Amino acid sequence: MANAKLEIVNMTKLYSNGDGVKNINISVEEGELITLLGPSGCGKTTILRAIGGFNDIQSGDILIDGKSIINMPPEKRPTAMVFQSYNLWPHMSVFDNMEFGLKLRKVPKPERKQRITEMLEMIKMPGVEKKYPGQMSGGQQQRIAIARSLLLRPQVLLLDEPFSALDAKIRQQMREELRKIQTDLNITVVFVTHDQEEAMALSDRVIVMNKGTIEQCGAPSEIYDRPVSRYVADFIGEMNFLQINGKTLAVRPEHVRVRKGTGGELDGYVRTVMMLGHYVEMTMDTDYGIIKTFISEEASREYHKGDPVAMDFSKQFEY
Amino acid sequence: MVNNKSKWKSALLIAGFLAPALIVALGIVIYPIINTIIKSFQDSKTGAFTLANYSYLFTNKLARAHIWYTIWVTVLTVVLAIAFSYLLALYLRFSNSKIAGVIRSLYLLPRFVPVLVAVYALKMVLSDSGLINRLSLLLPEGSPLYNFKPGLLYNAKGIILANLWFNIPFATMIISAALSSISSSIVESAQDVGAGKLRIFFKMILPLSISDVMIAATFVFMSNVSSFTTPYLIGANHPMMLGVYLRKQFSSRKYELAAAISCLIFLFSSISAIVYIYTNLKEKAWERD
Amino acid sequence: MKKILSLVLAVMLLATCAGFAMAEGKQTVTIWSTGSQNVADLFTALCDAYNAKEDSNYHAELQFIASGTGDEALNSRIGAAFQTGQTGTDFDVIAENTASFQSYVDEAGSEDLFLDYDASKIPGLENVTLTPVIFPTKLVPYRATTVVFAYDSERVPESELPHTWDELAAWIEAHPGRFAYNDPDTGGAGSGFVQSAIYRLIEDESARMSNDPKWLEYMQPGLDWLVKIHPFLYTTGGSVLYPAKNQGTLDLLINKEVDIIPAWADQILNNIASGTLPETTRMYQLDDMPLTGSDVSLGITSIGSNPDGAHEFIAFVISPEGQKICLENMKAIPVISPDLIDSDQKELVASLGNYSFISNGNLWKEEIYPLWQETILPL
Repeated sequence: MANAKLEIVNMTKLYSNGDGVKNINISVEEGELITLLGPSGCGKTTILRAIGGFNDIQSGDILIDGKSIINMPPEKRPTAMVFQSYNLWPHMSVFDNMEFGLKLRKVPKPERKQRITEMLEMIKMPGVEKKYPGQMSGGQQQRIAIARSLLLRPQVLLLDEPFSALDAKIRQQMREELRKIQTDLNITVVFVTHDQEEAMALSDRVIVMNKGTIEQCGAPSEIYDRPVSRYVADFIGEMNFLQINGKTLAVRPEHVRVRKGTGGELDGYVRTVMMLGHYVEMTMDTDYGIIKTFISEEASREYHKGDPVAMDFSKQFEY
Repeated sequence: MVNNKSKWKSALLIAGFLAPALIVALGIVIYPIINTIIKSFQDSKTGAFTLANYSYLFTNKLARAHIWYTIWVTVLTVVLAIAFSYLLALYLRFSNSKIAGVIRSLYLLPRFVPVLVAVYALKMVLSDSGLINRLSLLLPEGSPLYNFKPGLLYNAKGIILANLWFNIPFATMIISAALSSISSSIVESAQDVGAGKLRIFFKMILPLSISDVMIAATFVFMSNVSSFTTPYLIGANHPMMLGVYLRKQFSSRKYELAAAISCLIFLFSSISAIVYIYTNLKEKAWERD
Repeated sequence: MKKILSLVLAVMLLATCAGFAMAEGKQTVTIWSTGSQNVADLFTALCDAYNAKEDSNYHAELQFIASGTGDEALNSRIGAAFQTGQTGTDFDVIAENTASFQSYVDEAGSEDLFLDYDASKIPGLENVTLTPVIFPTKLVPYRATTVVFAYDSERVPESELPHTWDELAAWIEAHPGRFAYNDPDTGGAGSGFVQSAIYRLIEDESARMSNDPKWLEYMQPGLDWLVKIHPFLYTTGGSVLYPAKNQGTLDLLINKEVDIIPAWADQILNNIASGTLPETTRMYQLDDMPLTGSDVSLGITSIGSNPDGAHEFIAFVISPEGQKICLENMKAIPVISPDLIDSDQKELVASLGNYSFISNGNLWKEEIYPLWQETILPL
């Protein structure tokens, strides 16, 4: 990829306890929002901190616009990072927080003021200049933190689980706002999260990580539709796993079609029928394990615990 | 109504529980303080009111030398102890090296060595015929350090050195606690926007820890302005710390002068107590709701 | 630590002695003394020896008040007891520097605090060669003690040794940093030196026995002499140091940091005996005026409960047996002819009988010491 904004080449960073990441290769295009997804300890934050300059790496290279940045300290890198929490300096007002980096860059005072006002308007928080971080909610603080980073017009914006400390509703809202700002400004973003739903909703591409290595990289739909490994299949969305003749068969619940009686690809009995709002989740006992599917509320009336069920799979994966 | 009554009851109960402590405090703290203050204004022979004890302290050449010496030694102790402690605490907070780990687990140790033991140990090592001197005697005669005499005891240097031994661990403990409450992401986000180490210290770490540093400083000041054991054992006979001077007046039965010296020490301590209370009570702008 | 341990042991010993006394039904005679640990050790030994004697009719018990803890209080306590008319107290015998008895009488407001002793009840009194300077009918000296100059003959050759005060000043100036005397408020060696230096330049020798402040104006020459030697005394860290306590200067001599010091003879002898000072350590006095010494006496109070026991105990202390204990335990100068004492140590103290006696009461503490302090310390 010639026009890669950010490129990570064969990067390895191992901690003394053996954790870390090995042989990482990532390429991010300009204006792309890429997510590093995985459970805690998978190495996603290690990569992000390496890009930001907070971790030195043992081998490989990190390039922005084709130039290596690994020998630069964080303050010299054209990146900006937003942490999980405590981003804002508690002893400085919002204005001072936002002005700090601009001052360091010797932006003239009138311009500083103007840019801060504009930025606050963009994130729909005008007039909070004089407030201190402690006087704002967690969501507002993170919004200011992102705004503070954006003010510095970074080449790459790094976000380390910025919404994980917020409650579900605000998290949803913040995601949408972030996506909007990102597309409006066309900035390159590397986003770290352990929340697959967040990754799917937000990203142009998702990188699923497992124990320090990249398991799969692709658009959310690609990852969902064609998980390359059992690990990815399990981690992304819901999946039924069946052990048949030494092979693992994986079927998403929505790919299971059911009818009463026997003679399907697989036969079983109704185990539970659970109403979940506008759809019903039904599980079935089979010789190879429990299978979950979703049916309409109307269809669910026909099924009762212990009824024989025949299943057909419209799509399946084998591992 | 019932609620109110039970509130009263429990308030009474609490007062009842506190009363003995209060009475004891009155008896063994407040009463002697008042007594001392009164005594400091009394003539030793007639018991009449006089300012002579204080005017002696502020006009007598020796007494003034002791006062200035006490202030000088204490202030120097505070400045040096806080400077060392701050550097040490910063190192402990931001270094992941093994040495830092070892220091982290050992730095409080000097606090657990009794004052007397530590001062005598210091004496054995530092005195002009102590360990350092003995070691220097092993050098070939004529070499510049042969028969090296540290010259650290029986003057301000020795007292300050011993004070540092006791106070650095204590101040480091307080400042370390303050620094550990500064989240790494605060420092890293400052680094991220482009601040260098010095700027991070002056713009982030210092403002966020200054009140605890002030508290550490007031504690160091208070415990050193009235110190006795260390200057008594390794201080000179002139000038001397007020604690030793007080004891000397007391043993020559100049109780009124001794009372005036205690009041003076008390005054110095209260100044730093005021600083302490002020720093504690002052609501920082960023902590206001 | 050693001190505390020996104190504890002394207390335990006394407790057991007391126990024996109860068992035998002997009446107790209580001895009060103040001072340093060596004095406590001496009286512990004297009491033990007395109590062990088969023909002792009483049981001696020691009440010792260590220096610097509350010894100012003993004269006040006894004085107060006298003034409030108490009798039959356990203040039977007081052991103190002879000059200090004045302060007891001052506190009590009457010489009657002490009984005139009954010579017939003190066999052997005729052997005592010393006469106390004050209250000669009341006090019985039991040992003498003196400040001397001590030096190591290895380091100060006989030929260089100063023999007069002027020669001493010249020696000090010629050997900067090699002479020290302790802060005179913190030990008798220093105050003995300072007072000798001052009084030797007052022609009228009656000044030595007076607490009259008029003598202060005669003291300037002595102070000037002390000012003159000041810059050449022992220094540490760049400034002159007057060590605290007699032990302070003694340590300097032991550590070879200085060559000549004024010190108590008994402390020097004890340190030679224990090996901390070399065998080559010598003591001597200057020819034109020896350093001060004093005799230490026993007095019987009129408010005690056992005057007969007091007499018997005093007789024991001045007996050749008691004097041998004083000599060997404390290296004290005996108050009876050494010929009467059966000890191989009597040679040690034979030459120390020559000392000056200065008894200026409170003048020292209240006037002369502050004068020294204000003249010398700010230098």
